[in-house]
Amino acid sequence: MEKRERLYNKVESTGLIKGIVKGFYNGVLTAPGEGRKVCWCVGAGPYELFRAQNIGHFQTENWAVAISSRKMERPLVEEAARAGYSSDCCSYASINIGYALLLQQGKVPDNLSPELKVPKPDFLFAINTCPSMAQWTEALREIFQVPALIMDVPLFYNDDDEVQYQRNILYAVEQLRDAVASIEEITGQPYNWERLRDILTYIKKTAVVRKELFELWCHKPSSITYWDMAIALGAANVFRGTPETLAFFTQIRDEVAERIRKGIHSVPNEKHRLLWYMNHPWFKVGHLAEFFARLDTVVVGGQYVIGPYQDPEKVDPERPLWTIAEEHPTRPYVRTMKYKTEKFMKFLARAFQVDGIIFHAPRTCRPNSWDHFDAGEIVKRELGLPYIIIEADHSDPQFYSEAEVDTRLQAFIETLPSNR
Amino acid sequence: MSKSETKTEKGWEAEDVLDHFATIEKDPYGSLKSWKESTRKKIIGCMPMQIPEEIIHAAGALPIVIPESHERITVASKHIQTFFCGYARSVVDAALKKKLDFLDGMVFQDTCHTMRPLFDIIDANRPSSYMKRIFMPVALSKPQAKPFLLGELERFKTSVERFVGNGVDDQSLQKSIDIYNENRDLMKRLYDLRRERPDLITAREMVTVTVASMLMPREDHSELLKKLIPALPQRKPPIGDVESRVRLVLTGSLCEAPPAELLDLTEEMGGLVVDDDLYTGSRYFLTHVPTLASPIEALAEAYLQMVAPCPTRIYPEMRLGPYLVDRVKRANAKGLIIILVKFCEAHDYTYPHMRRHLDPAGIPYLMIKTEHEIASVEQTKTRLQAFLEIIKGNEDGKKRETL
Repeated sequence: MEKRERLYNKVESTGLIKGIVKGFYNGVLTAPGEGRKVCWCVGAGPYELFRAQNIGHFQTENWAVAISSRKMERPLVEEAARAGYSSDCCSYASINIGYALLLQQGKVPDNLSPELKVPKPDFLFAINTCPSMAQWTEALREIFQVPALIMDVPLFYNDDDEVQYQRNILYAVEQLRDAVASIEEITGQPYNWERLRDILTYIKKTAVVRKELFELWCHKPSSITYWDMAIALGAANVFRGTPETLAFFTQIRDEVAERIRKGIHSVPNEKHRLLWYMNHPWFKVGHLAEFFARLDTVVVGGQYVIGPYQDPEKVDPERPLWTIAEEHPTRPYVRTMKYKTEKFMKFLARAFQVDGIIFHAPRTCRPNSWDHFDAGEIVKRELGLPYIIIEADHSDPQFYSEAEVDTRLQAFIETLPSNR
Repeated sequence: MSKSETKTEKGWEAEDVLDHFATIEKDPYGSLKSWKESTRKKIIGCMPMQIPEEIIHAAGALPIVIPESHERITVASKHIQTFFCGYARSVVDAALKKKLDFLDGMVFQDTCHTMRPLFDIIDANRPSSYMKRIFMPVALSKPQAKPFLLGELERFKTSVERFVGNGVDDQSLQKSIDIYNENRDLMKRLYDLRRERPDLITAREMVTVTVASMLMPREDHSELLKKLIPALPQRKPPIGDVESRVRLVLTGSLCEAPPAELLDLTEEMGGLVVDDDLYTGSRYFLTHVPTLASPIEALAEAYLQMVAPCPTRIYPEMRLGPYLVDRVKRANAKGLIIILVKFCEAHDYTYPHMRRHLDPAGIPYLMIKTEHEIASVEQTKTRLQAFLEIIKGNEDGKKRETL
């Protein structure tokens, strides 16, 4: 078959993430040999706590994304199924639990990328912003028979209730203090607060750069899109707080500024601009970027690829635990639908000047698909934006029908008013 | 209730009580509406599993647990994805079809990620005049869990007081706890009786007894239990041939009653349900609220020390496996049926854990997934038959060995 030239013009510097990923996981791989402890972190949480104490750590979802993006998930998912885990469970969890089971039997598949062959944990950490994280961690705890530190995250169910907000944050701070005490006990070292402050300082500096990048991201026509930011997400998330990630985002910012100056756009003939809501099929990022480009459509952005610590003003290295407590346990999953539609849909739809919204409903991730219909109606009513809900999955290709998804998306785009 | 008045004079037979419970289960909203008309009291619907109903009771309203509706889901499919559990979808469907309009309020607890969006969806489309969410800690053994929970329960109490218009003091709350505890004790007696004489009550009837307790004033339910328990042994046993049957324990079916057809089928195929760990069964009543100086603290303690480990909660470690092994052994049962609601992800994660404990204990088990839109009964029938035959075969083998 003749290979068509790619239309989607990606931001080149996002490719530097490969080196960051490799370096990061290498730090996990070498931990046992260097006498450092290893922690598997389940959920989007306070990884800086572990980095400060020089613990080999990684986020299990980020690791699962790396596996499924490289299309290496099948034998791991099958192992989880053999052990009795349902295919209705989160596909990240199936991949990770399958790996844990194989690792315990000494049967990790040879063809797995060497840097992703992470060692057994000495302990686990979970943050249950997504409620499934608790059960996933319990499964790992039972497989490895190691201790698990759990951070219990309550709901913010009244948006304007200041008392509730303070109660919830205090609940988080107290648990973080306990986690620090446990980390000291596990590592046998006093906690390295100085290093934690340094990491938060890098996070703050990076947040400044990311804020500038956000301004460029809103530019119309687009010179950076959702798909570029999806590739960069790991650096805002699990790899954050280092000189490398600061340099990474600085380079992206500069490249995008340059692209805008030179009139280089992500999609050559941009006619439609869309918002993507919640996570996406990681194994289809390349396909989707190109698919939309061929329809003269830019998927500009979405909350999911922005990641934590967006606001430099909220990062205070002198109050590390409070900074952490106000960041991770306040993420979208514990917010009301009203809050999410205001902050993550209406705000972004206006900032990115979009013509419509795509809601992704991942089959094995209920928190990412739970109020799409009603949220969609609210945004349609209040901003006059059409929306579409597509059912697929974040990490399990068996729930993704390319022909069906493509046809529906194409039909949706055809109904959009052209913006030129 | 009118029926209890007419029956007292001529004396109750077990069938009368069971029929009464079955009427309530069959048409829960009909009986609740007439109760409301006659008492002019408020009814507050609770989402299943963990909400302390005693607080609502103490304020003078009737708390009920909203049951799964068995209707075909239509309206809800425009509001909630099909890969959410049947319970959640059916409650949204019932609310949007205005079938829950008779409720004065609804209370939601953050049981799992499927229950979390229900509040927003119902609130945006068909809210009751009182819509309330509470959050009960998930990690139960943390030192912060109890103070946080106490704060949450106090806030809940204040909110209910304000809505119902009655204050709740320690005395009234203690009285409600006593009423609920009495019911729990009676249910335990009924279960003790079943373990001794499992032929006296069918699995379907037993589930109905528990479901009815969720849908009527607890005092009335207790009065009926006091009639049922002594009357049962006088009853012509509905299950015959006890010796040749396989003694079973049922577990699971979280948030909803297991399909009655499945319970009937278990017995038709030669099973004998001697005990259960169902949500609409022993899970609902096993945790007795302790007597403490502060009744609200007692409710917090009861939650933190719940008897049947919940797959949605974290202890320091999951205790469900050992709990089930113990329950099967104490009931002298020969097998366990695990009823898993399709898309109940928390429970799905627990299945391999259960296996890790059941296998070494030598307890045969069968996992059955239930769906709102019921799949193939035939297939379930074949699996049940094979399961029971294997257990029988094993038992016969053991008997031969001892001869």
